Amino acid sequence: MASAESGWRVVVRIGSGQPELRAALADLPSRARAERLRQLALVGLYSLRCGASVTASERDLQSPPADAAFTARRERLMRALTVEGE
Amino acid sequence: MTVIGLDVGYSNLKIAVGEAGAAPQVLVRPAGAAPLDRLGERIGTGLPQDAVIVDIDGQPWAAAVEPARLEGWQRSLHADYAATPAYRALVTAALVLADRPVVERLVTGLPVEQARDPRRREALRRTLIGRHRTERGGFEVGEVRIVPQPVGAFVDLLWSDLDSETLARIEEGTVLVLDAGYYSFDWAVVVAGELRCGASGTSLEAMSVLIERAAGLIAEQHGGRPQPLALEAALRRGREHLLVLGKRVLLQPLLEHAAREVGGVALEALRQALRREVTNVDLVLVTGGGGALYKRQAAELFPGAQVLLARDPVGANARGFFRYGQR
Repeated sequence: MASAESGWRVVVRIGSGQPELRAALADLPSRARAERLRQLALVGLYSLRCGASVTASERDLQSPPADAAFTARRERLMRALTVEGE
Repeated sequence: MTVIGLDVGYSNLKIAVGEAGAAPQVLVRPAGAAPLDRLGERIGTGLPQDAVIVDIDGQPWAAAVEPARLEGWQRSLHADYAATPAYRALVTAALVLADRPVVERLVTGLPVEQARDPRRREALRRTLIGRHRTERGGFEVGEVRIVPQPVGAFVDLLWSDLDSETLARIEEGTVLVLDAGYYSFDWAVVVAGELRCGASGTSLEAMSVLIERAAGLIAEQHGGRPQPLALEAALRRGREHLLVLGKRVLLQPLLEHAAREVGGVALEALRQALRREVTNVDLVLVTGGGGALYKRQAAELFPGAQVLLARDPVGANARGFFRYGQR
């Protein structure tokens, strides 16, 4: 008889449509994948509740610091980069 | 304004989509595309769940799938790739994946040699611009810009977390961008921020040749038939091993061996092309799916130059095209 704590069993297929998730799980032994997936889901849930997912997806993790001089130098380089017949 | 930076490669489809002025969302999918009946069915599902189904000339096509899943289908690997139905299927799939009904500006790249040809640019522009009808609705592309492929990685470098010394090298010096793609190995020269088309060029000794060579080495050393598609899929997934006749074969030494042979030919073509045009190279940016394999050889070829590997070489061009498109 299933106890009250037995929880749900969910079979999840992670195909090539989720390459980032596949990569995160690929090197783990198969038994460790479920636990890792639970951890990642909890982090995602926490981010949603705290509004962090929006910030994280919109923030450019590569962007340099918003320094006016740096931005001006970069803009100059972007303007100079004219491609013929684009 | 919605902007898409689109990099339709032979191995991966890369899409950077977002609003001008904000950071893009970057999507990377395998670049397999073929009529739907060529797609192997996943056991137990009955449906090609992860393929994007698009209509090409009245026929259903499966796009953005692993090339190895396509049965009896030879993928296009030639200079006219951008004119093939497979390319059109991937463009439509990219618009479906980006999921924006109106795209004000789309920026994409062509190999350097092809980007110089106005007829090729115009043919590609006609493929991309206008209304694209799909089962998920219509997608409108307003304006199209076509640039030499390595321009994407260069722009992406400008938007990365640069230190002051590197930025000064870009402003004052000569930057060489090496884009080790699947079909072509492209290079572009940017002097004091200006693109020098005359010193930029293309070699076809690229990743497809390197993978063929590495697959041949695996067959020679471990038996069986060469499996370039399986090797390509393993690389795309970041695997360190390939299963060959029941044995796990470590890939890195074989890839490095193949890179020494194939990369040597490509870099020699590059050296010859640069001999008359450029005296010194101050910074080398290595990008593309095969970028990591070429970095050491590039450093040997240009002693004294700072050699950088793009942080995410696969998505660098698409991100750079997006940034280029928001100007």
